[in-house]
Amino acid sequence: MNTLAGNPYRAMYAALALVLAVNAIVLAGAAWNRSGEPESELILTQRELDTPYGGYGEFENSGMTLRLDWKIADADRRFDEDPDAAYYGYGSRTATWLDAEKMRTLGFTPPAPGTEEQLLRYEERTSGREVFLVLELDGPAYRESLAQVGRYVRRTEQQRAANPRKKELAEQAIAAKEMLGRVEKEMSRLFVVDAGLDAEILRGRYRDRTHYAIVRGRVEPMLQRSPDWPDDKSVPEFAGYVDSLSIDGISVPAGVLPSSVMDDEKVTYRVQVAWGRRFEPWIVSAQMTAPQKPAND
Amino acid sequence: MGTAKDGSGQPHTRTEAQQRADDIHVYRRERARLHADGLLAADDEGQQRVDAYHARLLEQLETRFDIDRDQQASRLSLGMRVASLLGALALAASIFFLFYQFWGYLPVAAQVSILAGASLASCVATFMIRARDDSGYFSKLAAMVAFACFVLNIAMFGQIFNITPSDKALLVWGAYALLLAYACDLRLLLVMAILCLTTFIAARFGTWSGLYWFDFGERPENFFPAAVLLFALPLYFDHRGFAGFPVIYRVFALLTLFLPMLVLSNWGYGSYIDFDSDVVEVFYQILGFILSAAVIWLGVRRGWNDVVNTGVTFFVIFLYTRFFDWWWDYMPKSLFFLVLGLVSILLLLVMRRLRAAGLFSGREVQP
Repeated sequence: MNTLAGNPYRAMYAALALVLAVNAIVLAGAAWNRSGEPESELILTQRELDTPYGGYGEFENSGMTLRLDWKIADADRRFDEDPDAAYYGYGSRTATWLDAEKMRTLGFTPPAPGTEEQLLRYEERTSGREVFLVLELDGPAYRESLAQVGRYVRRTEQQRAANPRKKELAEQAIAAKEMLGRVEKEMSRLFVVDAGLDAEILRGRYRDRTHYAIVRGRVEPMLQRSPDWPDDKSVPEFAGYVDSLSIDGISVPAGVLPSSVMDDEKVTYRVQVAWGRRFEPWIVSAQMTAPQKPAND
Repeated sequence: MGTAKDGSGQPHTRTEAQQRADDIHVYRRERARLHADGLLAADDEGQQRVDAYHARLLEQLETRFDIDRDQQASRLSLGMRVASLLGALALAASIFFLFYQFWGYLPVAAQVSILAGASLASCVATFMIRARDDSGYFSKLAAMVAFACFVLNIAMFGQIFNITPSDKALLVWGAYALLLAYACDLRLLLVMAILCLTTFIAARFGTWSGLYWFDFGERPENFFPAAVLLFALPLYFDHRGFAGFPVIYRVFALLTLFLPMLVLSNWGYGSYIDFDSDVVEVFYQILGFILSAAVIWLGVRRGWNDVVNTGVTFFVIFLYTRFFDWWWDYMPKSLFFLVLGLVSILLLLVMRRLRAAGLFSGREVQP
């Protein structure tokens, strides 16, 4: 390598050229992402765009970022069986549609049948990968959640009516109604409903760009074992789960929303979010809205 | 050692100048001993000319390079280096927090202008300070600030425009740090460059083998290509005039090689070798011993103390981790540590015996 110390001006020009070139490339990439028609554009509310974990003001950060709060129709946690777990997201983010066949299309190879040691080795050695995910806003997946909670409410009501003296059944019925209110008014309506390696094919299946956004995210393989495995000699089921979105925080430009958004849980707002050619999002516009009646009233 | 790049014997960097001054002091001390033993005449005319020349040279070097004239000055210099390092890190941190404190109030155009402008301005300032600061203390501060500004520049662009995270940021950060390191003769920036570029290379190899780039750590072997590259660089590129750079390359090469090996010797699942994890772990345990011993041998033969010390350190770490695996659960703790102590003494005796036998006498070779 030729030393640069002997000619500081040459080195300085090289350093300046590097800084300028990198800045130009990054800004050009961001501009290209936002050029032309957006790939998708969704109107999200405080239900789908939440404040980040840890809150605002951490590390004296004046910047605002809103976090995409997404859900998945979890195969293990249904609203009509365990509404708390379904609402708060306990358990793995598996999905009824993320089965072995789907995982194969995503490029994952299931393990060969084997011993526990071999299966453990498979799980330790197999990593997730970045794929395209489909986010559905206020669609069939959300309505199915509502229907499940509705069935749960009716069941608890029937149980309460059949055993009016049992206090715990009355409390369960009340809690079920509160859960219904939360799902109707507070829970995110944004669900991950599909995954694939080709964004064009996915867009061909989900053409409504105002209700379906295609984003990048990470899927991980998993082996679902029965509670009695290996005693029951069952074969663990190969499936997957959605680990995270590649970009789940969206920066809020100055002046678009007041800082009270970050501190006050009761504020409500609507945000128009667009995704561009590189499937990277940005906020197009935002406005505060009148607060709705709380779910518990 | 310490010769100038053009072969004239005149030092061109502070490090070379300091080495020259230290050589002169050593020469003077040895000559004083020879006088005391009656082997040299005190009033030799040639010696007087040499003394006068050395005095003039020391004065020039001190004026030009701010070198340490004696041990007291040397101790103070060490303090200045520590202060310079801490100051550099503190200034870099303050840049980050300053921007975080105010960026939310600025429109996007202002944010972009400030970030890019700070990168460019700090870059120019670094070179201007470098042109005036032969000691290097202030250059180090300025270069670290420039690096911090550039890292912040790209990181914040990613946040402002919601850009998908990529390992390519490590490449440009590493390239910039490398440029600053060589332009300003700064080992701290070289370390930053090595950290960034090593991580980038590991992430790339991870991606090529089918991993998500951020998961490169799940296969520690992804670091091996970078280790080889780091070790080879000072062998093929002339580093005269960059004192300390070859040492940093070699030490980080060995860290990049042995740390992943240490991990794999305890976590066989993480290997690309699709075999029983116990077998993989034993393989890397044996390989760790063999390679660390080979590194010690190579270091002695080539006169690379840094390589010898790093090799010995990892040999001992590999040995102690094996002792821990074998005996920690089965021995009383007092006995366990006694065994460790006795093994250390045994290693000392073995190495002393080998040194006395001349088995490790190697030519003094500097890259």
